[in-house]
Amino acid sequence: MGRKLANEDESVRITKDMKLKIAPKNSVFLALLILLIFFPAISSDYYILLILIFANIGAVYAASWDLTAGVTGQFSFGQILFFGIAGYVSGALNLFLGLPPLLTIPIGGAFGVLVGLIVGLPSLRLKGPYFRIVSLTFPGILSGIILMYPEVTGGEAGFYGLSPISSDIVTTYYASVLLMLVSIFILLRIVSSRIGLVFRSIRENEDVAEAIGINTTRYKLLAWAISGFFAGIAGGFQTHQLMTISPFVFGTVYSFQAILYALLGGIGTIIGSVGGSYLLTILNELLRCIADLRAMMYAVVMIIVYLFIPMGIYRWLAIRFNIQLGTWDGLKKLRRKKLNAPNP
Amino acid sequence: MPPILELKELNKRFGGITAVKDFNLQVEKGQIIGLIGPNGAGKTTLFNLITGFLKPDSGTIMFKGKNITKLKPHKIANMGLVRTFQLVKPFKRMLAIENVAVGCYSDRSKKKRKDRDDVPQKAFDALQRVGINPPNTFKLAMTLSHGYSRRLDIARALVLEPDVLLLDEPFGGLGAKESNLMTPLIQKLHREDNLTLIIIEHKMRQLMKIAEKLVVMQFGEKIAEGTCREVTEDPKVCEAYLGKGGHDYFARNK
Repeated sequence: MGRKLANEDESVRITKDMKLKIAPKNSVFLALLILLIFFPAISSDYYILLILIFANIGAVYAASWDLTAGVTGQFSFGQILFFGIAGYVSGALNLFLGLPPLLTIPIGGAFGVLVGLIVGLPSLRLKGPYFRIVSLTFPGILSGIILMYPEVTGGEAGFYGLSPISSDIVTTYYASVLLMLVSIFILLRIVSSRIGLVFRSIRENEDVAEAIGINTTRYKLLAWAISGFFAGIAGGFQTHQLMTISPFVFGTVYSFQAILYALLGGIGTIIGSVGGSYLLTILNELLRCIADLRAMMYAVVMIIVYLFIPMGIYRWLAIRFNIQLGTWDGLKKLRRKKLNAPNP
Repeated sequence: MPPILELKELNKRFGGITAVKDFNLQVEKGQIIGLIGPNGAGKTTLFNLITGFLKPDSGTIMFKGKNITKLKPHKIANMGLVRTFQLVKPFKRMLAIENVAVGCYSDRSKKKRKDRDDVPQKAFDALQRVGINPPNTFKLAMTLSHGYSRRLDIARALVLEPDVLLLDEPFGGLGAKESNLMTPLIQKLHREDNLTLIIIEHKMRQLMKIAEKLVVMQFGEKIAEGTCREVTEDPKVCEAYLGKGGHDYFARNK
């Protein structure tokens, strides 16, 4: 990692702001990781750790959206669907069957996959803006269904009194860090694998991918299912962390939360979502002191960022420090054969 | 031997416009067919019909003895009928070699190969065959020149090891020098892979060197079919290109 582009200078200049997936410099990455792991030693303040837990959950949630939107090019406005349904499933399993969070969260993720497949099968056949509009409607439909059956779903109050992840905030913090690191690692592996290669080709041009024998519907469904799983896990985790879930989780604003995090961090980079989530979650808390103007300040900061670094922070950093763009891991095999392939 | 590709009574209408009308064509294995005609004659629509991007209103398309009229594009591609596009459409933000590698994960390529590990090498070799070598192999596709992009399109189709390759204006936008390189490339691929080719092209000088047979379209209909010589001397063809009296003008100034 961190090697300069093998291309000539000229192509580097042209491709600078087009870089898509970039591996960070190892040392910076490692330093941040150590800070993350030893943070409770610096401060075990309940409030600060709570914010970081939300940042970790947000990172997984935003990264899951990035897989469908940034990598596969299916820009969805309804990512909260997976998050919410998994939260409800985890909550119900915990409340009615008494299952522990360690079991309910993965089952919630599995329901995210299931819902992804059911919803994706008809809607992923639509393209461009039509898909986006349809994706916007699903969370609304689901919250409508939940409000229709209050005796099962608890109506507007939802489920409450659920088991927490852990009664100790430091343990919860480490659980969230583990969740985030493992999820991001798996998502990055997927993106650089052959599946990720096909995902990216669908983003670039669906018709051409189809013309060279790729079953694009199948791959889009796969992306949607993987995305549903990780969003679901994040949803289940948050439900247990808050010990409650209500239909208000399906608000459109929460779908946009994923989009904001990923866009700020750098769309299509997966890792960018982590940075975006941390920055915005912390900013949101810092602005709490000016309660009345918070929403407006938040908007102002976002506009400034998107105006000056629309490609996202992570790609902006990569251009500044000339970090090699990551690619398909098949290139490693060519490197071993000394064919001068760039290092992914 | 039955024809490898057979079009029977194909019809396609867009609202009031007939794009393809009662089109019949038989393609023998190993043939190179040039498809020509004035702009808007329905050549690309015909390609879209054959490769499943559009469904014909009526008529059938037989490929290797099977009816492929209602199949999806990726199914048709996996049977060995692959196309390129009129406008170059590289996967812009992917490396050239990644562009080619995608095709290696189609069902057809997977079936044809046993060892999964040789995919990068296969993509590398396909690029080399069309004349793209390092460092261009590892450049982002959007940074390649137009001539290289055309070759990239062909390499992307080649990794499927097609039986029939449909090229939509492979010389489109190429300069004289690049065109002169493309002609031997297409001939080489035809020879080495025993490819059957259908080529849409306006650059007659290049097409005449390659094609064994020309098919001329106008207003969605086939107006002439035959060797290059037969077709260029056909008065109907001259009329299609030059208007009424065109043939006389052409004959006078020969």
